Amino acid sequence: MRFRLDVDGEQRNIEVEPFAGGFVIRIEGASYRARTRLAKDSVDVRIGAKTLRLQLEGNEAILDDGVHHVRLVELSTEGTDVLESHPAGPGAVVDVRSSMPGRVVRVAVAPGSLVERGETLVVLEAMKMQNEIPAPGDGVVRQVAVREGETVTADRVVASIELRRPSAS
Amino acid sequence: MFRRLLIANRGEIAIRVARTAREMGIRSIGVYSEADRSALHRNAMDETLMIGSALPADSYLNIERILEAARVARVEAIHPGYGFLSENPTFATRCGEAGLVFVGPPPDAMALSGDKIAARKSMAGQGVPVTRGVDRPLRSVDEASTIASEIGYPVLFKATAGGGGIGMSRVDRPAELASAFELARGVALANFGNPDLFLEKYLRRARHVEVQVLLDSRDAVGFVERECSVQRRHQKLVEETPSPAVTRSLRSRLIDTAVRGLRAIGYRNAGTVEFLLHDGRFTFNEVNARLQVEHPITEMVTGVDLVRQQIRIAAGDGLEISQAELTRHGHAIECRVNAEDPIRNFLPSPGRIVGYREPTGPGVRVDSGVAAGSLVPPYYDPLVAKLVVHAPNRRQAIERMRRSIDAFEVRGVQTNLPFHRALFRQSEFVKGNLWTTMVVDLRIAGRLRSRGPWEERFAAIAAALVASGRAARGPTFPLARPSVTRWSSVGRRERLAGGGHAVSPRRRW
Repeated sequence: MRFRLDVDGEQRNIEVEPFAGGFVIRIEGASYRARTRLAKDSVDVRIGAKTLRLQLEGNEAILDDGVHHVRLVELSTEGTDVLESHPAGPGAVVDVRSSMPGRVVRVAVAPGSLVERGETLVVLEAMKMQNEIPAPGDGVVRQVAVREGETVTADRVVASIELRRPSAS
Repeated sequence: MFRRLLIANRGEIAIRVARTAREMGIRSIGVYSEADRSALHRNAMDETLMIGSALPADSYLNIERILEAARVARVEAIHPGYGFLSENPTFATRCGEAGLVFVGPPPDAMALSGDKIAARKSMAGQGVPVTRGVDRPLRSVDEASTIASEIGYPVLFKATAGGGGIGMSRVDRPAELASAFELARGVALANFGNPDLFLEKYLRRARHVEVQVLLDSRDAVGFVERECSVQRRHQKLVEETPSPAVTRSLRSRLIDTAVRGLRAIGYRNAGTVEFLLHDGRFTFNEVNARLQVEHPITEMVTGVDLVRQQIRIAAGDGLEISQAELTRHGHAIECRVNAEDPIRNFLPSPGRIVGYREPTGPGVRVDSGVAAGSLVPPYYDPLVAKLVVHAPNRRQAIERMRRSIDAFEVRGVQTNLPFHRALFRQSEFVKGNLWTTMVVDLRIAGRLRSRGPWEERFAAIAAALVASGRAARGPTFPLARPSVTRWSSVGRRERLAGGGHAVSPRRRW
């Protein structure tokens, strides 16, 4: 199960999968193994050597360190992130998203460009570091959604690619 | 002494300089870009002036704008901090022409330090050992290849006008040389406007040590060395003093060499001479003609305020300490806290800081440029704070740092604190066995799985939502209207924490 979780105004993309009687929770590259135990009015969650007791109440989660405001922003049972998993079939149009907030310093393709998997579509710059956003598979650029000089947020669609054959991820 | 000082920088260093200015009774005038309208450094100043748009070239790197601000604010002196214009000889010269005192070295000494080949030659002329290499810009790939085979691989290309680790390229085999040469020239041209390269023998498993020096017109003081071997992409992440590898006799030779080298080029004010330590021998690396990021660790072990000394030297008041009076106590370590995600290859993580709590306690100093609610803009370098600890010895300093890292909470942007947490548990680091490529060689970032206590709470909430079946009921809870009052949630929290009272009788609102 994938969802976007907002805790006290901070949002993360989260993936939770059952694993060995518990869960694996992946948060943007980090991974945590958790076991849960449901009690009458609380849930005990063990992560590593630590056990956190928490209570879910409306849009609040109450933990040992205080009350946290919790909101589920998006929810899907299927993967939505083409870059990270789930191959899409030929002919599918996939959105490519920015990996980090930053300034678009270069747009390397235009609508109609033929691209190969791994080819740079857009170059972002933040904090004196450049980050190249690659094509997720072989295909044709259908749309370029950013301009050079523009500032983008993380996870924003920068281009759409129509795949010619399934990406090999 | 000056009455008004312009601080031509932003973030933690601007705040740190303003603090000393205030102690000295000097009014500090800050500058800021459009991206820094609500930046914390504005609050630390007595006055601030907007100097341009978010792009550095239009604001913090813009000589005309900064000189104009200095004129409008009627300041007598400019402190450049580090980075931006701090090592730009043209800026230092222009300050002088405008009748302003530049708090830093004379432009000639700065220009010489910034030209890596000239600095190397002049140090060698003073009998300072230099790494095997060439003392002129390489004219062609063929020339580079001839010299590389003479001194033996691996070799390191360096940009003549380089700095900050940019433009350096290591070559392990002859076959890699031609492409590395062209690539490094391109990087040098793009970053420094000058494609010239030279090369040196690359030293494997070397340590990076450096000596802080203060010089006025009469006297000079060399400080105990700092070791800065923990680096990523040639940029320092952790610094400590003293170095676990430097003996008393080596220390006095390092200090003598650094002081002699800087005197010889007519240097004044604060400067640092960097060395590589390899097989018990040291060779000159470069001169940093500015106050350095890691200067607080020297302040912690000596009690000397380096910025105060810088301002006094610039004002002609001279040093307040002499080499003989200088004492040092204990061990200090600094962690650079950057807005970067160590789990995703240190990807920059600008954004809004939604929660922020600094560690406190004896021997803990945090030089920070942010607070809760601060925006970390994508336009500038990723350093948001420096976590510095001081303790009687290295072992206790490491323990203090571990505790402080765990107590440092930054939410809303990712930071490299999880990397520091892992490093301070790494046995080679704990033993003091350090070298400049250890972060990569030991895969310290590559082995990270967790981002630490705050994100574990995120994971726990996610697990509880799924386990209780709540997540499956669909997106979003009703917003804003709390289903519980603060009183009842406090009561529940107390019960969860094991308290018997619904509300603690001593609690006050």
